[in-house]
Amino acid sequence: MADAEPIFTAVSSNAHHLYTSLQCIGFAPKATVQITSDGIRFSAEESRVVQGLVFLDKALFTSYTFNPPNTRNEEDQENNSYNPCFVVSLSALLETLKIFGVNDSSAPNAPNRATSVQPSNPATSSAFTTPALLLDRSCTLQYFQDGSPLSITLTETGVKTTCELTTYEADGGEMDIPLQRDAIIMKIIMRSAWLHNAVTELGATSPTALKISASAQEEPFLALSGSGGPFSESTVEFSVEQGSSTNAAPQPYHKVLADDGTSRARAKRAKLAPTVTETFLVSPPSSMGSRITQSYRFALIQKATRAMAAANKVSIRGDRQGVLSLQFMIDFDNGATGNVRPGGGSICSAVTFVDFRFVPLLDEEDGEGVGNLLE
Amino acid sequence: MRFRSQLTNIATFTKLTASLSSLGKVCWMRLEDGVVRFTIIPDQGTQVWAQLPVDAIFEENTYFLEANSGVVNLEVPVGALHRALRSAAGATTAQIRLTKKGNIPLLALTVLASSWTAGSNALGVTDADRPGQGPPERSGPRERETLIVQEIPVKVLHESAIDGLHEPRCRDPDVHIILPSLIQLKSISERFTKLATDATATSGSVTGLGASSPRLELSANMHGSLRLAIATDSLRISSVWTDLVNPPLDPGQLSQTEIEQLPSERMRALSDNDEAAWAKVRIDGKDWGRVLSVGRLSPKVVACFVHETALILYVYLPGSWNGEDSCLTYYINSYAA
Repeated sequence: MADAEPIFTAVSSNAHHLYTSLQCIGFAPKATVQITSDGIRFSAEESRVVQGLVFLDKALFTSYTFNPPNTRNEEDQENNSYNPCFVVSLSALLETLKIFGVNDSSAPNAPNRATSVQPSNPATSSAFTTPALLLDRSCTLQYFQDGSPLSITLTETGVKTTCELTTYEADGGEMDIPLQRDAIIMKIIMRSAWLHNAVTELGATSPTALKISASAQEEPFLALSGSGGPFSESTVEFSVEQGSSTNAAPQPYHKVLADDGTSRARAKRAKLAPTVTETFLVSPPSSMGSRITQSYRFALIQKATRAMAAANKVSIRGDRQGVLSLQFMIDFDNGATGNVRPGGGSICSAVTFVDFRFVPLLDEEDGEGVGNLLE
Repeated sequence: MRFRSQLTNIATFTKLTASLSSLGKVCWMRLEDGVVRFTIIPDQGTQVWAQLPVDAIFEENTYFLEANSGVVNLEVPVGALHRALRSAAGATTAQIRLTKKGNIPLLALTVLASSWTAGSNALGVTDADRPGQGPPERSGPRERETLIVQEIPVKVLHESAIDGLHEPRCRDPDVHIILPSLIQLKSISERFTKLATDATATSGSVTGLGASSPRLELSANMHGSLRLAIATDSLRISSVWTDLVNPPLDPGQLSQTEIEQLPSERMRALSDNDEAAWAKVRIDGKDWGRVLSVGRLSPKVVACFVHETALILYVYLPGSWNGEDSCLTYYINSYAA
């Protein structure tokens, strides 16, 4: 087996990036893995109502080789491409990655900027870690052939750990929760820490539902409230800072959304927007009035807490049917590790995106258009 | 029967009792002239036979022992001893002695500690009723002496009670090797154990009542490699350490021909690619984790593998590497496959 060229080999000098990204979707015990020529996609889901997805771009790795075999199955003919897809134990994968650097003296997750509001990224480097010592480390992911285990090899000084994760066949029903990109009615970009703080705050009263309420015309422009718990209802409102909106006459602000949700964030700042948001676009369809409100199971939203804590930014999107997408951006490049990466690896910013999608709770009164979502 | 001594190396003694207490509740403490022994024989799991020179933990000049047979044998609740010693951290002096309260024999630990008060006088009492009269030298923190006496009830063991206790004997080991950092070994072992526990938990109760902790497979060869492995349905994981040392045997104790006949020399002759060159034992993951807690003493550890039978660890405390007489010996049985 070792003689043959493996289908897939990827080497990373920093398993911590992989760990940080993957633990965001660690809410499920198993994950579906798909290997493509651009990167690896890990997805986890629960009961088809919440889905978490991590795409590890090949730029995150120091070397990335994908050799699709020439022998093709009939099933692969539709795209003429072969992308191995299988299920592995996510908890085992995470536990294995944790072995890497297990005897580092400093806790890797200790916040390195104590004064900052933002729960900082797991420190890629700080005054107490010496990146030079990390040079002789590597983490290799390998997949030899169809049906073989996914092997993870961690090499450190004197120790080599090999973990072979049994790969299970993906059950064909794996399906993404559909987000209608052409029917996005809400798009909010802000620092992920704000969302994390809000959800943590609301979680204190253990509510059953989270209601997101957004309006471009009247205050509160953005409010998250938790309800249905044993205690009273609580609400977090993202307010407008006093100074910035003193003499700005309230004027309705509308903008047609671009269907690709990418970096048009800094284009223009809406006047009627909470201070914390970088982008605040709310355009409800006329049937809804000026305010969008949608409820989600709080326990499901909480599954994204780890991603909220690890990420720098979050893009909150909602479509006409109420499907909520939280797209998190984790930027690994605020440490110095990238600069000393051996072999002249990419110094360009290493960014990972973690996507969460949630199916809304049906409102008894106006459930129109949502009921057929999963059919 | 009398015994008393000043403690000299409280930190070491504390750590020693901590790692002993993780393996068993009671410990047989045998005090002799010049040597102290600690032995733990649990119902199940790893046995420890430790032997320390008196000066490793006691101050030799103050070590006073009086008994008819010249030996004092005590059954000590090692957890209680450990907790008592913890209060001696940072002590100026500490003394331990065998005494009696009524009919109960005790080990009394007397700790003299000094600390700085936060307040302006030794007792931390504010004298508000005498405003302005405080002499200037009374302001500011002061040193305060604290006397702590900890009493640990023990049992004095009669010679007949310990006659039947013998250190286990094993055949000559197949492989002997110096272990890597126990701290690292412990953290990796714990991850493995956790991985295997998680895996069995998620795969449902197929095995039903087999609530035992997972078995780690530990193996080593005479070419400086140590392997730790575990396998479950969902994964197979192994860590391999290389470039470790297989310590040479003391030629002063064995003749050249005797050395050549040892199983370890036969194992050395085998190529390191050969699976037969690996001596293997299967050990209980949780028990192994407790054994490795001795790593806090940062010792040198020689592991002796008796293939499919037992693992014996010789733990040498730092500073006593050459001293033959300061050694903790752990006997771990191998489980059947």
